Amino acid sequence: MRESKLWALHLFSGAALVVLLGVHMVVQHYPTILSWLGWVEDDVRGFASVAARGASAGWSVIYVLLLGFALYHGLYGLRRILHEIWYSPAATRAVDAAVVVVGLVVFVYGLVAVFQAIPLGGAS
Amino acid sequence: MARPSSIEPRAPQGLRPRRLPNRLGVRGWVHAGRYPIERYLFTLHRLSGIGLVLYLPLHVWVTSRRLQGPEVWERTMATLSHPIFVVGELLILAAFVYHALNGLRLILGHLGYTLGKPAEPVYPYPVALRRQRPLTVAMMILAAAFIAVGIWEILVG
Amino acid sequence: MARVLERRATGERATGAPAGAGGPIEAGAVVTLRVARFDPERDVAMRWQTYQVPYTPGMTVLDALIAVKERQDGSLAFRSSCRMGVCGSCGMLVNGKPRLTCQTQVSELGTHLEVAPLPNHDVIKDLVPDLSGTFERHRKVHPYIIRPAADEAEMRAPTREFAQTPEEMERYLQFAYCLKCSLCVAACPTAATDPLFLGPQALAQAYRYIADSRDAGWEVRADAVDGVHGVFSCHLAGACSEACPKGVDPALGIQLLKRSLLTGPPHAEPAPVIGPRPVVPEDPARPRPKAPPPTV
Repeated sequence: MRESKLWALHLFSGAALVVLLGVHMVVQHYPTILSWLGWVEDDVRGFASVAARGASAGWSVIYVLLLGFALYHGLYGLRRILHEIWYSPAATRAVDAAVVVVGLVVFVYGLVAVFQAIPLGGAS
Repeated sequence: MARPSSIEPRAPQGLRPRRLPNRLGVRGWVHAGRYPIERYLFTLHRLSGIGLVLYLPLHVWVTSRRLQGPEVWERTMATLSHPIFVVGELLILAAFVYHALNGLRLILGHLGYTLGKPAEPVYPYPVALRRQRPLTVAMMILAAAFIAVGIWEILVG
Repeated sequence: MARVLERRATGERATGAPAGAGGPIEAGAVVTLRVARFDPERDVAMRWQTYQVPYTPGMTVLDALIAVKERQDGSLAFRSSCRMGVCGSCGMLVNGKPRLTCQTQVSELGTHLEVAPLPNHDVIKDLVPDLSGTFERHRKVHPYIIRPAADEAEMRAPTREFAQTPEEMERYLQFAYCLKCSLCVAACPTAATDPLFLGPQALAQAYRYIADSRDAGWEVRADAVDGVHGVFSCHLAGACSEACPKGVDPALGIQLLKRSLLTGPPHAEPAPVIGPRPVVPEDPARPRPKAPPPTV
């Protein structure tokens, strides 16, 4: 794949992350801003609240998108940095392979966690 | 009579003279010399990006602890309320806010939207990056505000 | 002088220079030069040597180095040619910033100067950097007008001119002022670690030709720059544009090059050659103009 395609996806995922992670961060860390928006939740990080979000289809979709975009964006950026330090062709191939493997492993692990969390909402 | 040292016979050299490598290396990412603010925002962007990407798998693992049930989850959250993790959380929040806002500026710049058009180089020379300097300043003020509110929310709110 | 006043107005000051640097220097003052030395036949690393030369009004950093070489140390090696900011051979790291020494007034920086060879290039001797890497990378982006194959005969034996409006010229003119002095490469943070990175000089020149309305070489150049060590290793730190002594603004050229790689060439068709050259037929009825009468 041409570098420009990968790079365009890096830019797109970056822009998408500003929105998605922005929502994620506001929900997790800015309760005052949330209350201005009319959303009051006593304990966002309590188990009941976490399980409820994990069970909702909307949040599950957001989590999967977040995971995919964040992994792509982060690992592409990391790959660029590593390519600038280890620039030999062999090192370039090794870094590319490592980045793909790490990305896939973390993505599958996260995906399993998101789907296994769906029944938790009913249990609590 | 001793010959002056400057005309002492020298060790034979190959045809191609020896070069002294003078690349700045990773030091050159950080230490730059007297350049405008964007040069240092680049360093900070890279640093915050490395921090965030290393945090991501950790975060996926920690949040997947909810699968183990309420007891394990509450225990994990209790561990994370330790001051060390709170400081770490603040650093990640600051890194994200900075990386996001500076990243928006960079996306616009990379695509050439905020840099203007080529101009005839008449002294004092036009520098495109200076045309987006107001955006740089606005983004940094915004980042500082979000980080300050975030710190307040985590420590006080 | 305008340059000095401009620098003074923007508050530019030398790093580590004493207070009051950048102001007028009295005639008779002494300029202290801390110069990096490297002799490939003896040294394994750079070493520093200090010289003192009397200041003369209008003295450039290059003038100071020439004064050292003429009167104090003939072994000091540096490269210079035109002394007027056109040849691009006297680039050095002066007080922490890459500059053309022939264009840098000592009065801009104060009486304490630190002169080192350009970073991110191998050192041949003392202050002489090896610029061959920059020239090689420059060649990689096909730095010349490429015409469609149909124009081959015209390119071999030109008969006509190419059409280009002033607006079309302005799209690339700024980038055409490049001297290949490599100051931008010395300033670039990516070039600090990655010797395969094409670098601001070559990438800006790639855009200079892509933006030229006469050019049809977008695809060839896109192939040359669209790689792991190509245009996307630029992270818009902007140091290259600040270092450029000619206002070429490589950072702008590189970002426009990136946009062009995503959205396609800036012009679909290269500008045609101007239509048939006007032929004035010989008219036998019309008398040829007579030679003016000889004056005494």
